[in-house]
Amino acid sequence: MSKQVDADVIIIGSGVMGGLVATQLAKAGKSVIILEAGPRIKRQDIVERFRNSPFKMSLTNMKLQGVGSPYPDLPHVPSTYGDYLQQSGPVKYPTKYLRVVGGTTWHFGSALWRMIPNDFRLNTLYGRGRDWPFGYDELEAWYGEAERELGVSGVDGQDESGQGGAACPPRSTPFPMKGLEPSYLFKRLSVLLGKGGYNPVMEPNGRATRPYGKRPVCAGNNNCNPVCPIAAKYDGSMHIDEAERHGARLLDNSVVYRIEADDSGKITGVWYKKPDGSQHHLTAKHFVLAAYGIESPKLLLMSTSERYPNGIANGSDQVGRNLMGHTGISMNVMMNEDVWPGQGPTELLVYLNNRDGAFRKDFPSYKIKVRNTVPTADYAASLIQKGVLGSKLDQELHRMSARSLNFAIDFETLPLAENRIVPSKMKKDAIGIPLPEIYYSVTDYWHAGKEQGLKDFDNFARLLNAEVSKIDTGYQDRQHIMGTTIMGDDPRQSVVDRNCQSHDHPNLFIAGTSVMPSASCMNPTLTGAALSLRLADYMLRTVKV
Amino acid sequence: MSQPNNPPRSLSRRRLLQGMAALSLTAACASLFPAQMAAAQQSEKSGFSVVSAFLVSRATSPILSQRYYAALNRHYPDFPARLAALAAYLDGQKFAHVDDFLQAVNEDDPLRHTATLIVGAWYTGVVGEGADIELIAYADAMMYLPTKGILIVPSYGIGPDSWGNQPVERLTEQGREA
Repeated sequence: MSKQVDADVIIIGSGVMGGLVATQLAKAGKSVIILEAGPRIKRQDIVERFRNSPFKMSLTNMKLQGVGSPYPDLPHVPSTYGDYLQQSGPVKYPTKYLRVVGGTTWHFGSALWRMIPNDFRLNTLYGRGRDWPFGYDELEAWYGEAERELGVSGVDGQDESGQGGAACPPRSTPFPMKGLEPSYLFKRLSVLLGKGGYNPVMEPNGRATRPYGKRPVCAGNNNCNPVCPIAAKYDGSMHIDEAERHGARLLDNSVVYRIEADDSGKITGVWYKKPDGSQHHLTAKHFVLAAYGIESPKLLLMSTSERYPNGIANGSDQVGRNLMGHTGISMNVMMNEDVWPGQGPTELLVYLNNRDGAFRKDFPSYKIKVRNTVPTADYAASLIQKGVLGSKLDQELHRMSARSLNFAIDFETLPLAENRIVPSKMKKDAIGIPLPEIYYSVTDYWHAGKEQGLKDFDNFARLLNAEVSKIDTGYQDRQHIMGTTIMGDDPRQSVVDRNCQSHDHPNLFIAGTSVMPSASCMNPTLTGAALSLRLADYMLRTVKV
Repeated sequence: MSQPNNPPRSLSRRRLLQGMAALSLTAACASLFPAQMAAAQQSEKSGFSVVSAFLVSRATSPILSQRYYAALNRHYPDFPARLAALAAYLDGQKFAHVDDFLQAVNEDDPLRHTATLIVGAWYTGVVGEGADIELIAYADAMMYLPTKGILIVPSYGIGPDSWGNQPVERLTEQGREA
C-alpha cells in the first residue's frame, strides 16, 4: 500500500469476540488496534463494589435486575442497567451488556452451548425463520476450538438435544475439562423430574474444573453474575490480555461513532471520541466490528453519508433488524422437602425435552433451567417487610432458602424485520452519541411456546410435590442479543456473508452473535466464539490481511 | 548473643493476645479503636445494644451496633425517641424471649415497627429506604446465620467441590453449633 495506515486491522469492541479475533491476528504477527468504548476494570474493584453495594442484583427477583450493577456507569458509556436503552415496542427488551474492557462475559452465567444440526435449518425443516448459509458440520471444528480457547467444562456423551439418548450434537473433540460436580439440588431434581420423562442435562460452561491457563478451579462462590471473585470463570478480558501480550494495542475509553468508506466501498477509517469529547481518527487495511448486538448495528446506522445514506454495510436495509433474544417466563415453587438451591455455581441443570422436533412448526424450541443462586437476601428483605421477626424469622429464612425454587424458560425467537435497534433521533449521551432505541415484539408463535412451557411448569410442580407460589409470563429478557447484523448468502436479505464479511464492504467483518440467522433456545456465546475464530482464520488464510 | 531472636518479646505478644482473647470483645475494641469505642459506648448508653441483642436473640458486635445505631439515627430522625420508648417498654416487661414480646404487641403497634426497623438492619445489613439505602454489613448480616454451614455468603465460597452431598444440618436455626 502506498498510504501509511495505523494498523493492519482495527477491531471495534473488546469483548470475547473482539478478543478472540485480536488474539489470533496478533499471534499471526498482524498489527492490531482494539478500540473499546469503556474503561479497563480490575476484578478486585468490582468484587469490592459488589460486596459494599446496598443493592445486590438478584436472579430470583427479576424486579431487582435493574439495579445494583457493580460495573461503571460513566457519562461516555452509560450503564445498560439505567435508562440508557430506549424502548419503543410493545414488549420491552431490557438487555444488559457491559461496556468495559472484556465486555459482557464479565457477568455472564457462562453457559457455553453448541447449537444442534437442526438449528441451522429452521426454515427448510420447519418453515420458520431462516436457514444458515451452512450447516453444523461447517462449524463443528470451530466449536471445538472455541471450547479450548474459552476453557469449557462439560459432560462428554450427553444427549444435549434433551431426549435422553445418544451423545448429541456430534463432536470430534471432547470437552477440555470434565463437568462440575452437580449439587444436591440438581441430583434430587433429576430423580424427581426423571419420573415424568424429563431428561436432566448438565450445562457446558466456562467454569474451570482444573487449573486452566491462569484460571483456578471453581470454588462455588455462587457469584458468576455479577462477577467471579477468583477468575475461575472465563471472561473476555482474558483474551484481551493475551492479545496484548502478542502485541495488540488496546485503546480504552474510545467510543467509535463513525465508520468511513470511500466510493468504491472500501472502509478507510474510524472516528472515535474520548470522554472529554475530543475526536480522533484511525486508519487500517481491515476492520472488524465486534461491539455486540446493539452497539454494532447502532454504529453502522450512525455512519451515514451522501454515498451511504442508510449507513455502512446497509445496502440490504437489514442492519439493526431481526433482533432476537430468548424471551422467557418463570415459575416459583415451594418444595415440601429441603433441596437447598444456592450450593455450587449459579446454574448447571437444564431440561431440553422440547429443544427440537416437528413441533417447531407450531411452537418454538425451549430450555427449562433451575436457578441456583443463594436466595437469602431476597427472602430476608421480604419476610422483614411482612413483619416476620423472632424465632419465626429464622425458621422461615431456613425453610424458604431450603425449599423455594425458581424455574425459568428461554424460548427461541425468530428474526422479524420489525424487531430492530436504531439510533435514537431524540436522545443522546453525554458526548453527543445517540442512545439505542429498541422496538421489540413477540408473535403468536412465542405465545404457543408459552402455553407449552406452562404445561411443563404444571408437570414440574406435580412431580416435585411442590406448591406454585408465582408464575411470571411477563416477557422476561435473557440478555442474549442476536440477529441485528444477520448472515446470509443473499446480499439483499442479509448484512454479512457466510464468512462474516460485509456484502457491501470487502474489508469490513462482523464478529459475534449479531450475525446469527437463527437463535435456537440456547445461550449464544459459544456459537459467536466459534464464528469469530472461523472469521479470524478466514481473514488470515483467505483474505490475507 | 547466642539467644534465639527475641523469644521474650514473642512470648509477651502471645500472652498479650491470650489476654486480649480472654477479655470481652468490647474491651479488645476499646484498646484497638478508641474512637469507635466511644461511639459504641453511645449506642450502649442509648440502650441500642441491649435492645438489639434481645430482639435478635444473639450477642451483637459493639462496632456493628454503633454503626447500625448511627445509620438508623441518620435515616430516621425520630429513631432516638422510638428506641427510648421501646427500651423503656422492654425494661418494664422483662420478657424472657423476643417471641414473648412479639406475642404481647400487635402488628400495628409502633413498638413493633421500631423492633422491625432494628431487626431489619441487623438481618439485612442495610439501613434506609428506596434509593437512599446504605449498606452497613454484608457478610456479617444476620440473615446468613440460619443457613450457615449449608449456604455460603455469595462471593465467599468455601472451595472446589464443596457441594454435592445432601446437606447435613450441623447448626441450629440460629446459626449456632447444634
